[in-house]
Amino acid sequence: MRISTIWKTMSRPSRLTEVAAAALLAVGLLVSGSSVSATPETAGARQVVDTTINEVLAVLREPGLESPARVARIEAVAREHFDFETMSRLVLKRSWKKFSDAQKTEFVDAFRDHLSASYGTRIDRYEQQDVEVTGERAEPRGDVTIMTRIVGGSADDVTMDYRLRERGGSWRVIDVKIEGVSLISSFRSQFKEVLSRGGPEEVLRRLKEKTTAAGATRS
Amino acid sequence: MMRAAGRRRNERKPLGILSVLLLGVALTNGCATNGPDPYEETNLSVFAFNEGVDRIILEPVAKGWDFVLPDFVQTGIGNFFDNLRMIRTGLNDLLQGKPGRAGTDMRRFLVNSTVGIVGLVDVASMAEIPHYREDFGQTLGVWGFGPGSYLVVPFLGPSSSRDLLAWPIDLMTVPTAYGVSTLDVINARAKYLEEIADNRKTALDYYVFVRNAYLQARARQVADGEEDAEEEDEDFYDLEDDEPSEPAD
Repeated sequence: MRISTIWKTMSRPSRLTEVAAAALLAVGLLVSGSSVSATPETAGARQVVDTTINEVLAVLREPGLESPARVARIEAVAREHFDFETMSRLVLKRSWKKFSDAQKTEFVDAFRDHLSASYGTRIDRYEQQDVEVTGERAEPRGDVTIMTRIVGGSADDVTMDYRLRERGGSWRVIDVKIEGVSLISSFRSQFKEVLSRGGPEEVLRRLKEKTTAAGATRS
Repeated sequence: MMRAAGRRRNERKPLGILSVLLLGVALTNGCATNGPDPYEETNLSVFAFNEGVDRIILEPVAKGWDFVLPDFVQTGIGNFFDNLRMIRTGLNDLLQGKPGRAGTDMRRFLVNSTVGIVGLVDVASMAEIPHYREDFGQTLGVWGFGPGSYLVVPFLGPSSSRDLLAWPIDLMTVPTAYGVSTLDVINARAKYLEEIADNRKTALDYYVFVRNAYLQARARQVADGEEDAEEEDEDFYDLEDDEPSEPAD
């Protein structure tokens, strides 16, 4: 009763808009959230994502842990659950073949370091947050995507989708989409640009240079 | 500079909208053979200009704002403007044929405008009412218009022919006086101080990074998070098998 009075004085809606709003409201009440349960296809991937999230949250919530130590611990979690070799091949796509074997190894290491330096620090900032799994999907050719959402803190409501692939008997993350922006797609487009200017050497040089720059933001 | 921006805003209502519409149509019709960014050269210069404006004016102002105002005040102001945009979201829900979402969004607007003290407190989120954001660019997307060409617009930043075309409509459906929306811009910029500084520093190619992020994020917003799994799957395979199609360079 009081709410409708405030609403009325605030915007002075006509009788008609009031009725329309009430009707919309009624329809809105019927819309409900989705429940998520793992299927046999997605169970393996789901478990990896659950473990990863819990491990990261445990690090973030550990009292008295200094920032550099927290970043190092988050990096360790990522190393275990991310498939950096597949990610490297995916971001370079066709150009992967332009790299010599030595360059390939160098790239995988450099790319992993770059991701650790640039994302590790960011995750480190999100302190008072929780993560909930909002959905999952078996992809057409065997990958599994687990959708999550951050709850609370400065990144409230931000969606993070993890794409996982099974290789050598274990499921590992091969892409992360933050608010729909795929890490693989983002890096692929940037590497394409750098490659067109300078080839593998330039890519490796640039990657290391930017990793140093990212490391400099740590304190 | 701030005054100049204010004057621009006053002028663009009658004339600006028309010229933007015409520009949008012209660009949509232009040949888009060169990927999503056929105007890359122009875009690059405008991007550099916008970066300059941000570094000289907006970022320092936002830093001052962030320094002076406590977090809860910034959050409140952000909530206030978010709430005003719910009207636009509701209208676009209807245009996109999603009455259910329009209902949810009107409910959110009503709750936050009243219990949430003119939108300053996001009570709706505490009550777990989902938060959708829609604009006319997304509506055009739902109606089947692709993004067209990627465009970097002076002062506004990344856009596309479709989104630029929709922009005047969006301005009309957000009930804010233009002077007040300056606060919205500063407040929003203050929220992303660290993120943007990080991205500038760590991106391998910042122009390409922003372009890719904009196009991906908008595609997702249009699809309401429902990606085309089949099409997307392509990007995660064919690592070796498409070697013959590699262009010699």
